[in-house]
Amino acid sequence: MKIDTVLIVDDNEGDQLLVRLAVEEYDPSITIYVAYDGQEALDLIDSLDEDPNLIFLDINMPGMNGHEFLVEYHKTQHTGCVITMLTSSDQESDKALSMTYPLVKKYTIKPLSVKDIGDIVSKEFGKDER
Amino acid sequence: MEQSPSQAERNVQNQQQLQAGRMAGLGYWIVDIDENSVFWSKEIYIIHGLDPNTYTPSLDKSINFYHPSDRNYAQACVASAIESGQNFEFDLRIVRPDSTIVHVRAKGECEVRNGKTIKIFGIFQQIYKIQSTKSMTKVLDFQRLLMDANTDLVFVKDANFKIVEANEAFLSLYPPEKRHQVIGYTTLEEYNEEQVEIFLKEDKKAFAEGLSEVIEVIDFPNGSQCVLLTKKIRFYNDEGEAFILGCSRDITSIKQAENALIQANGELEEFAYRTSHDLRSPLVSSLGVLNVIEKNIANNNHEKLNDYVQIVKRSLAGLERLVSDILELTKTKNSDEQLTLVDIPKVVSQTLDKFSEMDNVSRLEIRLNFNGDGIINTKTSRIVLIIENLISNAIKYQDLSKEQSYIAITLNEYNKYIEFKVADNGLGVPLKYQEALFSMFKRFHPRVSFGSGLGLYMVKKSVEIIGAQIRFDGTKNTEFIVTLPKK
Repeated sequence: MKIDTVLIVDDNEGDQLLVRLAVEEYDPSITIYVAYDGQEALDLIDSLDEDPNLIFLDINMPGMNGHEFLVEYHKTQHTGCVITMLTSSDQESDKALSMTYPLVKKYTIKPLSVKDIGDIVSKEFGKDER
Repeated sequence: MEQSPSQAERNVQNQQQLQAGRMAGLGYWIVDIDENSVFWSKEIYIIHGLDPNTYTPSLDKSINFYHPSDRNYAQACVASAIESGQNFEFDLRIVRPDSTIVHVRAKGECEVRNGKTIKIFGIFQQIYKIQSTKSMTKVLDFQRLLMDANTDLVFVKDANFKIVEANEAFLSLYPPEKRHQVIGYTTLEEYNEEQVEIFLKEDKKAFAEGLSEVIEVIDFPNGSQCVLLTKKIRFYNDEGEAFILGCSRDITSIKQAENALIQANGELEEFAYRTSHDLRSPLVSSLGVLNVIEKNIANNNHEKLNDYVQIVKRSLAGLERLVSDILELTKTKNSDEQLTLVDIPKVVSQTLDKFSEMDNVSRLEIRLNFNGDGIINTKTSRIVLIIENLISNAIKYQDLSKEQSYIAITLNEYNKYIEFKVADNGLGVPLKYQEALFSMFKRFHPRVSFGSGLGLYMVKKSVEIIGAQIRFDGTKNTEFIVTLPKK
């Protein structure tokens, strides 16, 4: 299976850029959306016809942070996404809390590599068919 | 010349004395000087805790029963009776073989013949009842003294929850005109319902189970509020009526210190957690972007290099702001700065000058409204920090989508305080985040990238240091109101 859309939720432009470049390197045909915090992400998902296949979610963000986003997101009807937490803090408490949400499949410490993307896609979406 | 009584008369006398003695709890004794013998009636053996069948008294041994501190006196009385026929009477202590101390009264009368004492007749009585009344009074006086010297609240309640005894500390919690209506009353009407419920619940528990212990926050009739650790213990009087003895320790300051510590500790943990993220995050992303730049240079791909460099620059500039704020915060926390006269309008104008180069300042309408001199004796650095942060926030978080943006800075001077307000019609703070407004590392506008998230936290700390107050009003626009007391 091939993924079509990715949503990056991160307030840091540098991190947005790095994830974007990694995704583009992995598969340039993927459509990339960017949100600066949880609330923007929720609004964006609402406005899309189809849920993004994969969300890269930062935890520490001004406004609605990653944890708050997970609470709100699991209340919505949009359950088509696979979420990868992408954070710079290696905190056990953050990881434990994140992994309690069924849609969160992976917890990655920044920076994200192209291989990380390949791993999560083949694990969650079946055979890599790029 | 005295006639000595016949043996028959003596026997009758003895018989009568024995009877009288038993009836009065009284013993009698005879010392025969010539025969060097001592006779004790049965009562005296009992008072000494000795067995009449196995013990033989002597004068020396009798005197040795007296308490070491009393012995010389007893010895002297007996000696003067023998030498000069002096009668005596004393209340002294004896020490029983089992080491218990007994208060006794002894009386001796001398039989003198030819100017020489030949016998001493005496009575001997345990006087614990008489003595105990005296010592009980002493003990009670002392207990009263202890109670009143005690800064803990001490009180006794009866089964109807009436206060039957209370110490000075307890009484002082009532206004002077009400103090005579404490003992003999429940005084429950002086407290609010919620507290009465707790009192009675704990009273009942103590009466039922013998003990209750609780930490309670109480508003006292004299207007003070305390956190008390209260222990209540049940006891019975001689008539078998139940009472509770209450002891309350004022732990208000301990609680305050404890809460301050818990808060400080929480802040420290939050600080460690957040710095680990907020310091590392811009470094990791900058390094990542620098790697990209390096790769692109190697590949001769110069297309977006400038954009990437700008990203790194912004990221590092943010990091620099964070580090200086953390340093500033350390100062905020350990400030022993002297008080000086601060001219608030002057600080405002200096601040506006300082920020005149910030982005989009020129589109803002600055409304100044100073009612009063605004000169106050306080810590300059704190006032500067407060004013700079409030004004720079108003500039940073202006709403660029609005046609007219303003910052309104108002100063109202009153007798006892100065009110300083900074209002704007900028982006505002979402309602659900207003509660966390003054917390560490809170930012509310993801697309506005300045700010360490420490600004309002530092403002709050500075406000506390100079004994001022700050509140936020987000109902119409964004407004921060600082109330500065004049000292």
